[in-house]
Amino acid sequence: MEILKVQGLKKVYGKGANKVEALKRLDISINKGEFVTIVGASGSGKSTLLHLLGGLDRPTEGKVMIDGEDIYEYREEKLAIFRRRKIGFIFQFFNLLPVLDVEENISLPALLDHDQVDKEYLSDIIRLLGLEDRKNHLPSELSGGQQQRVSIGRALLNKPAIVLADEPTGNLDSKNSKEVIELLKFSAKKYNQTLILITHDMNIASLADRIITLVDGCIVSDKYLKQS
Amino acid sequence: MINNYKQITGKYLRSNKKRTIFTLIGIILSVALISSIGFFIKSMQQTQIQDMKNTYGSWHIMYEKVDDTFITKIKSNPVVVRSGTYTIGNEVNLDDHLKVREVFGSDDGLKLVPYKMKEGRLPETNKEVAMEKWFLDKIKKNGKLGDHIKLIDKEYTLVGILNDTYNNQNDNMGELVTNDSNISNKNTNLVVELNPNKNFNKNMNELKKLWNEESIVENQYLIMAQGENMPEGMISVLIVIIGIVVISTIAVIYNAFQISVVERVKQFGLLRAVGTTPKQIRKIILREATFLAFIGIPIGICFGIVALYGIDVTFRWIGGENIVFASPAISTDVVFLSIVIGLISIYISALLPAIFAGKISPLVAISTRNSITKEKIKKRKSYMIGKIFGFEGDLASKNIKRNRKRYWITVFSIVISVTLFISFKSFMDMSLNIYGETNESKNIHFAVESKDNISIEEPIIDHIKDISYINNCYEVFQPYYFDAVVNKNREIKDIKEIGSVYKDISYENQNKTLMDSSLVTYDEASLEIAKKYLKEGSINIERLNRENGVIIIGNNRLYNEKTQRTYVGPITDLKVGDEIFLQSNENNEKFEFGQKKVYKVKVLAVLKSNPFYFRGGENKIKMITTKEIAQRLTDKSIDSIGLNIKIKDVKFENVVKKEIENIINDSNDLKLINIIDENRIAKSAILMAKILLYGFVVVVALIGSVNIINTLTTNIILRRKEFAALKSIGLTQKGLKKMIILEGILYGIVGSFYGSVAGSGLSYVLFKGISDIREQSYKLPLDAIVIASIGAMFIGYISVLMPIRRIKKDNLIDALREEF
Repeated sequence: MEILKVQGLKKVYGKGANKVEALKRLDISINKGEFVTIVGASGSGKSTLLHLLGGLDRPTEGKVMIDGEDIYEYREEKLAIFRRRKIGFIFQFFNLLPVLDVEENISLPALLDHDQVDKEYLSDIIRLLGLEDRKNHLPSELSGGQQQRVSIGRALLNKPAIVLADEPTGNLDSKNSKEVIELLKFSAKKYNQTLILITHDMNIASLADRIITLVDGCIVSDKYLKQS
Repeated sequence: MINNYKQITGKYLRSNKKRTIFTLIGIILSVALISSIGFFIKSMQQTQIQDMKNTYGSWHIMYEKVDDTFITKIKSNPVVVRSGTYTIGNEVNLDDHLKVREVFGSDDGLKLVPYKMKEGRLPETNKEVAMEKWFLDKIKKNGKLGDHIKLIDKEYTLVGILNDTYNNQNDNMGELVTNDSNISNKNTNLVVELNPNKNFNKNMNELKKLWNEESIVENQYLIMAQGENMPEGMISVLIVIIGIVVISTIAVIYNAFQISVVERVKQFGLLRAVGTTPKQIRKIILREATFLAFIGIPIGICFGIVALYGIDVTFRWIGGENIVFASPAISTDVVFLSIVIGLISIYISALLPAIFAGKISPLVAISTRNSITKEKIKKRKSYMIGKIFGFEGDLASKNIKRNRKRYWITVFSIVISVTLFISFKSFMDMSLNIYGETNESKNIHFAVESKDNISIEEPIIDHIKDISYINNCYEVFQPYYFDAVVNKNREIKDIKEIGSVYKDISYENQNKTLMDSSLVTYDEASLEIAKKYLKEGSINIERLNRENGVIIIGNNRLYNEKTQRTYVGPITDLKVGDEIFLQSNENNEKFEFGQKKVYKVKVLAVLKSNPFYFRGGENKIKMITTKEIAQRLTDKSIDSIGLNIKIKDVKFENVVKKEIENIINDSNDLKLINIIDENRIAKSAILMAKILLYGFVVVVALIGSVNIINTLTTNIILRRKEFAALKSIGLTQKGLKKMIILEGILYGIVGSFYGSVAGSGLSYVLFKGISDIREQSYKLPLDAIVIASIGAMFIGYISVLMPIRRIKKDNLIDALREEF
């Protein structure tokens, strides 16, 4: 079942002589529950694509359809609510709020919705992430791997349909990297989520169902891998 | 565990204690300043109202020669709060000197007129009486309350003793105050009190229409004190002052919020990325504002109250029993107004940063690239600064202008502080210049004066000068008047507009100016002290005598009848070396110039202001000279007609008094006047005004400093990563320090420049407001500009020192990696 459809997506930065075409009319279709990695050299447009998929930026042209709706038809307010409920973001630099502890950082999306946090589900996630004994610590008291696990927890809390990860292991050592990817894969399967991940690391890319390669804002290859 | 996103506010405020405290200090100081100004004005007004009620009574309008129907009509008028009658009876001679008259008043009538009880109460029947103490002593030795007194064929019971009044004592007129509302003769007056707060002017006008105009008296002094018919100049000055304070409050708080938002741009970006709506972000910031308002405003008002009592205590301490500037009054109006102004300024200040924060793009959280490309960096060359301060200076000057928004926020905060300081300080100087002239006469303790200006004999003067407790004894001489002719180019434009001062004359075939002048003689001691007031030239007795020299006082006060203002300033532009032609004009005779003997004198010095109260005329050239020259110019012998005596210490007051009295006792023409108290009161009043105004200036300077420190500190802290990068490529800590300090100072310089321009403009507006009451010429507040500029640069320097220390402790790698 198709959950995400991109049509003629184009993004241009700057004007005149400074004009940079980051994405040149992309068309992509992704099914529910798929694990897709996007690879490419620096400046190939990977991050721009991910930001546009998640409703963080606005495209110059084209559509991003999620569950059949063009998210860029939404006004700013609705787009924010869409991000909160449908998308889970994981960043390279974990981007946790320094004043909130682990539990609070993970609960943030629910708090923004004025929702009562589902305590059971929250402790489920914390257990899954192996952060039980750290849940009252501030981000500054955690290691890089632990901080990234917190941001994964935050991305999962609202049970989003799509999880977008921008080089989630870029700042981690190989042991932590492997753990984080395993965790993402596991939870995606458990909650039947679509996982889209940007990486430089071909070892990680090869763990996915599908690899999309970008060069200069164009898709040059779109391969399905047979996973055991 | 928080259970609502809004609680992020509290978390942030708590974990950034320093920033929170700084913002709070800004709010507290501003609210304290607003409320203390309000309290002070209100207290002064209350004191003044009480004073007026004591002196003139509590009534607002008085109808003379009223009848019963009119009284009933007024009593039933809804706008009248209280009304009552009082009637002055006929005078009866008790003996050759002493006279007596009855005053009958109704209950309210007696309360509305200014009888001050010393003892007892006001009479309640026409058998009871109250009278002044001196009169009671005259008609009944040891009279006391409850005594029966028989006067003018009536018997009264004494129920009250009134304070003595100067007028009644002077007239030898005793008043018998009794209670009687009957209208017995044609001299009954009706006094009426209105509600001063409700449509006062309208009600007053209606009441005035009810009786014939000639028989209506208004209590002008009370009405003025209660704030009606205040001079427009005063109101505009008040509005400007409060306006300055409110604007500065908004500026300080706005800055604090803007900084705290800019500091957290990444955090807000992140919140936006995970789905926070702009509205929710605005709520977070406005919640911060509310929280700070709830803490800051009450503390600020408490500080205002403390300041008010502080002022009161200081004044009592300085003024002693002699003077009470104002009795402190905590008015709920002022508290309410301060809260409203505080809240409005806090919300206005927080709104813009809140809107700004709501618009932060979620991408800011993710990519550092964006934040760099969004900064519009202009290439600038600053050869000058580079040459003077080297590479670091060049970098500093490029840095401060790199981010336009940050640059203007910082400059704006310094501009506000400098503007505030300059306008307040110059306003203070202007008011003191007008109301607080101090001269040597204020330091005089005793004066010896002769009746009818008869000269004092030399031996007496020598005797007095010999008293060992005396510090200085200045001889006083009679002033002489002359027609004076000066060069036409010495006329002053403002004086020409007043008219009647300058007259055109042709003298020695040249067009010149004829005007009045007065000449005062100074003895050696006076000339010596006059040197303190020197503006140009020099004072040398021999030279004065040799060159027919005079000293000009370059400060006159003239009333302009056309504009109904008083001009304060020089009457001519006479300079050292100028010549003046003088022809004696003693009794205002109408001799043509040149008809009598003309003397030529030369200006050898110009003084800023009067060394002593000037005995000549204010609308004339004011000249001072030596005894010898005065003799030459007048052909008369110049003898002292009085002495001004300054003693070594006030504690010798009684000793000196006795000694002088012994010396002058033989002479019937001399009297000794003790002016210690009078001068003490005058001096302490000026001192108090100074303390008050300087107090305001200090608070204003404090608010300004908090603002500058806040902005500059943040400015530096936000760029830790950048500094780490500079250090990692080899900039030394010393070089970094130099660069950052130069940035601070450069901000100070730019801010002072714009602030000086704005401050001068504002001081001119204030000057215009004041000069509606008194006219004087405007001077650029140069000293305030210099102080403020040096202060701004110094605070710019100080406020970067703290963050530099913090940066020094940074680990390079950590700082480079730092995200928030």
